[in-house]
Amino acid sequence: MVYRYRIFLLTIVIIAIAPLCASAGMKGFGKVSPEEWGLGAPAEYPEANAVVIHDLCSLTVRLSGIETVRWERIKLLSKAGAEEVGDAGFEYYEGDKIKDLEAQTITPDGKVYKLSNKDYFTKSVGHYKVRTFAFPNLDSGCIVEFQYRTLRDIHEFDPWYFQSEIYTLKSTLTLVVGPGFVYSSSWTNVPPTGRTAKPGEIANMDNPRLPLKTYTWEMKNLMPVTDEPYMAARSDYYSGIFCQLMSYEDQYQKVIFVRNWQDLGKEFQEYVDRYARGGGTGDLAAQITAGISDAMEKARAIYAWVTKEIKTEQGHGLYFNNENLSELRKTGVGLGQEKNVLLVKLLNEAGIQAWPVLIGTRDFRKFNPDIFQLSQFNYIISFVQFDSSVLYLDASSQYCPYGMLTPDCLVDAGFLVDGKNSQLVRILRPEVRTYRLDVTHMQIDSNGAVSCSTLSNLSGYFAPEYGSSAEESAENDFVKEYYLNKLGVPFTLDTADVILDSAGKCLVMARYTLPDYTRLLDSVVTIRPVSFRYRSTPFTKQRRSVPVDFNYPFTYHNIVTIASDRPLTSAVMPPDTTFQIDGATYRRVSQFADGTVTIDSRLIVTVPTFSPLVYPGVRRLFEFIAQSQGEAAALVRQ
Amino acid sequence: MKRSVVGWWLTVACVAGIVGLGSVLSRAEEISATATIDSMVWDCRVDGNRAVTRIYEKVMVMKPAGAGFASVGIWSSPLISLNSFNARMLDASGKVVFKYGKGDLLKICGFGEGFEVYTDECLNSLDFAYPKYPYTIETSWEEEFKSLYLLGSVDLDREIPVRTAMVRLSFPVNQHIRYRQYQLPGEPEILEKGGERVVTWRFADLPPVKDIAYTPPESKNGRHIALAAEEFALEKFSFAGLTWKNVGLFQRKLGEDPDSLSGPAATAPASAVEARRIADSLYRDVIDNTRYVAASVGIGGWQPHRLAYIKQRLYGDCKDLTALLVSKLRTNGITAYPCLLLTNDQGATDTSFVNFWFNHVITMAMIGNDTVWYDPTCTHCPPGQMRSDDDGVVAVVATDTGGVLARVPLSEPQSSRIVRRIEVTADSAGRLSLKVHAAASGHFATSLRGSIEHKDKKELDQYMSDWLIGSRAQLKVTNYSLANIDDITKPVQIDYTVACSQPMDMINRTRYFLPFFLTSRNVYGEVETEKRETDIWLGFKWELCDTIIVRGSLLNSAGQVTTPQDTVFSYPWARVAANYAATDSVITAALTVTYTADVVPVAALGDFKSFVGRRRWLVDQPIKFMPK
Repeated sequence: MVYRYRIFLLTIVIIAIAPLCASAGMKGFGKVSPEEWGLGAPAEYPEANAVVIHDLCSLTVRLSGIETVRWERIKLLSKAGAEEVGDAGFEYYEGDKIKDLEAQTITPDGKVYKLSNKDYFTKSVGHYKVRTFAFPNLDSGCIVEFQYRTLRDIHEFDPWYFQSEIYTLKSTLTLVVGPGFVYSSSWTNVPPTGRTAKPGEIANMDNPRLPLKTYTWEMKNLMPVTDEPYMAARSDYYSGIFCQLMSYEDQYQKVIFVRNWQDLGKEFQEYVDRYARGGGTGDLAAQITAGISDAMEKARAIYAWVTKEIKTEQGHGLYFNNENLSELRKTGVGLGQEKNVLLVKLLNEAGIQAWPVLIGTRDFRKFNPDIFQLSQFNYIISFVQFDSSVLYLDASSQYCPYGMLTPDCLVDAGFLVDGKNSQLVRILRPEVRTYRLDVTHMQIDSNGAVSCSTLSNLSGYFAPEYGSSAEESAENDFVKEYYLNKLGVPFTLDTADVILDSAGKCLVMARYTLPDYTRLLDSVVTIRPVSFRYRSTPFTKQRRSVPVDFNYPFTYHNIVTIASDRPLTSAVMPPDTTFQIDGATYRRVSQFADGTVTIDSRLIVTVPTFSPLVYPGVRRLFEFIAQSQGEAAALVRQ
Repeated sequence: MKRSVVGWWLTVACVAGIVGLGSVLSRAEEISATATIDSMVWDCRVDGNRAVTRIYEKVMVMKPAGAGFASVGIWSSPLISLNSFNARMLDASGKVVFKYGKGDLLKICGFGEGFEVYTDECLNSLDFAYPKYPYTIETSWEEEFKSLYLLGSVDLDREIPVRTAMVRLSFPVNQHIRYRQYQLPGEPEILEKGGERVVTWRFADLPPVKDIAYTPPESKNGRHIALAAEEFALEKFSFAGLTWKNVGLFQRKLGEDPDSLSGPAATAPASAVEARRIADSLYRDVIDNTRYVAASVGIGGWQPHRLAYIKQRLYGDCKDLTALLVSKLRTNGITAYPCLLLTNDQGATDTSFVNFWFNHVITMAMIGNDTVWYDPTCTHCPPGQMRSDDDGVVAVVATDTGGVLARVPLSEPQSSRIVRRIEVTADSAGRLSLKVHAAASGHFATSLRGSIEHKDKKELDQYMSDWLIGSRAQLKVTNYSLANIDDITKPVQIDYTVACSQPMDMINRTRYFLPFFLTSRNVYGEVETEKRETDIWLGFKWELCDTIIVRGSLLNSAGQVTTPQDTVFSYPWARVAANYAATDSVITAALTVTYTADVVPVAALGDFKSFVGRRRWLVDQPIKFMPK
């Protein structure tokens, strides 16, 4: 079995995510109807620069494989639309054969400009391919379209997404299957009313007496989905259908295309076993756990060893960068999933029950248990079972405290790999307090420059979230990127340090100077307390079509003290204030005592997800926070 | 247009978008402690029209942040083959812990710059990581250049220290390869043996380069050795004799197109005014009806497509669109030429060293006794205005008789202006509401038009809000309207209504109002002046004019209003003037900052620091409303 690249490394501009579905032959481009020429921007999306008139895909299933036919037609509503859709393309796998690719531009005067063979190009990243081309003669009012056929010799479909980054008037998937084929399908973000296929029949060229059955799903008037802050993988928000072939049976044979999860688990187990063979893990486990008798303590020691002694690298999207565990130990560098396989093996060697668990990380794809495809996964975590408790672990970061998962692994479900006993499992997330406390002391000197020291205490999911970034960069760079650059003013960084404390918290310490941070109004100095998060609102758009997903509840607590080398005699401080919505509260309290100003602000988010319906409230809250953080204290010095 | 550079610095460049005045603070001291290049060797042997280069590097990585400096990224293409690649990793004791071959390289093909739908180049990359520091990466590979046209430059500018470096160039004595070193000490050793000339440069302890913001184009190329062949062939096109004249003739040869020569000679326009009108109109026709898109295949990176092809598709890269515009101008009796240049974000052309180091092509038209320049890739540039990264650069004009050096005109400050009229209403409690009329011209208008053209309404709202108020969280744009977006000959006009959530500061019953609160306080404040060794490059000349008019009941309720003193100061690169006027019902404050030069010489760094401080002080001066 070949495990394909799961992560496409490059960002490419494509008209839509290419399907690898199948159908009943190319019919050529049809005429453009007067209605299509007359199309304007949809009433619900008047700013559209282009609209997908239709994106039609059909899948024709044969014993030899799957044939896809796709035809997409787009209308440009403005000149800007030419830039949005002018360079087009679609992805496919290395083994797919692309046939009959045609693309053309039709200008409003009816002239047709077809692309020639030399206008199509192929880009590649490893096993992934992108067929790309540029539409000629573009201007507002043009219609562009392309169609192609692909032949795939394996019986595996990719998802068909009805939606894309462009407003779509109509998107259709047709499945064409002959007698004897059994398929199943499931949906994401498709209302129940849209899940019923329209059945039909077409002639079967191979056997005229047995027509082919067609099943068609269609969706209309779909808003574009674009990237927003605080969201999971964009494709999780598209309306989509996931088809899979189950089996084929005729009088002579029965072919099973989709195996159940147990079969897939057995297959993946063999893949993992091949990787995990050898590596001296028995000796290593004994060495790490020497003198420890308690199973949970052994597990803790092994986890600490794997997180610290094996360096985590970013991979090419494959499960394993090293050939096997021996090589992983030799190089000392591996992907997070390789470290988790090593963790499982060491735990097993130490007599602790543990298994690898496949998941699709938050930024990859949401797991759908109805689709029996391992391609839904891109990562491996570890499941550990003790006599009276269980744990999920991800050894990718030493800043991820034992017993927790890294934030990107906080998903609903996964697939525990245990040979023929493999099973789908719910991913449990421990209740941890995710808390960030920034304590900063600001000292104003006689010239108005400010010397600052900040201690940032990151716990819960903040520890691995920030810690993994700190591991990948120099401490100074990390502090600049995640702290000082946020201030938007000139600074001089004197010292920076990032450490992991014994309680599993990530501590960030920095000393720095802000030379031009204060303003002098006669004898009064005005100064804004420093803060490093939400100085501007991340929610800038008026409306939002996808939920705000913070992933976990959290508290951001910022305490700033301000003093001066010339004693402060009085201060006008930012007013005490509170802003609350369901699931989140912001509060700020200020005081002046003993010549020092203290400003204590706290954002508490108790609900990780906010639906688009309550988005206006979320937006107002974060606008309020940004405004509040812009408020200055006015200080009178002796 | 492709830039031809060999060896360590093999990049493909073509202009895409407007270059901003971004700043990068020096990181040299921090970075240099993370990794070191112990040894680098660039060994090139020229044979006929080909050159085979062997490259060796030994990098010691001392900290995690240094790992990236050991990574390799090697470009290959049908014209540059990667013949071999080997690497090995050594631990701190010098033991080889891993070996790599060509098959370990990740090959990414086809992806070029943003405007390229396709390029036939591949990036062959490999990252190395090891958990224990220090470790060493040794890499060696061999590249073959299938035309000496591709000889360009050997780059020795590194962010980490280089202990030893050797550059060796070998070529037959009867062949002429020119070279020139920049910002590098010493002279090369030249030996002749067996009919071959061997030129060797040796360097020791090259310090890490500082990535300094606002570096002038002339200094951007850093330490390098430029190369150029006296003779070469590029497929069927041959070149001999390194002169700018011949460079221009070669470009003409590459761009020869039967379509452009057919038909009777056109009659010249009756007057220069008429010629300019026609030329502007043709330029508008090209930018309005074409797209800036490139598909670079083979020598297509340097050779324009045939006119028939461009006209049929109405898209192309810089040389295609220039070929189209030149053809249209000539058809209308206007003399015009393509011009090769290196955009100022990439460096500057050394006029005393002839080579083919260019990354862009624009158009020059002869109108009357003057020249008019057009960049047909710049959709938002009005006729005669260049992109900011074309501004003032040296170009090789490919005339009928050969290449001629000429300088693209440097725009004047009055042609790139931001003018704002800010009407502030202040009530007796110090609460503010604002109406702002802003106009952006020249490079600012071009940048603004380019930035907003692909935005949907939500993105546009955000962008226009940021354009005016930036991160001033107390302000909120409640409404705005845009005018003249499509008329590129006029400034972009924006009218804003702005709400302010905070009243003016009040201290001891006196209210303080900073009239220039919408003016960036710290322009050029991040420019390093302490250890700087290069001039400060401001990009282009420009002007800001802010006029603030304050009205409202606050003026009636205040006992006394004090405005700052009028202030004027000037430096060789800028003039600043602030004027204030107050009556019972209206206060006016006006600030004009004119950047009259695009370069501040290194000798004036102290003055520049003083200028930045004085300007900031001026912006910080409040108007005071004292109680009755």
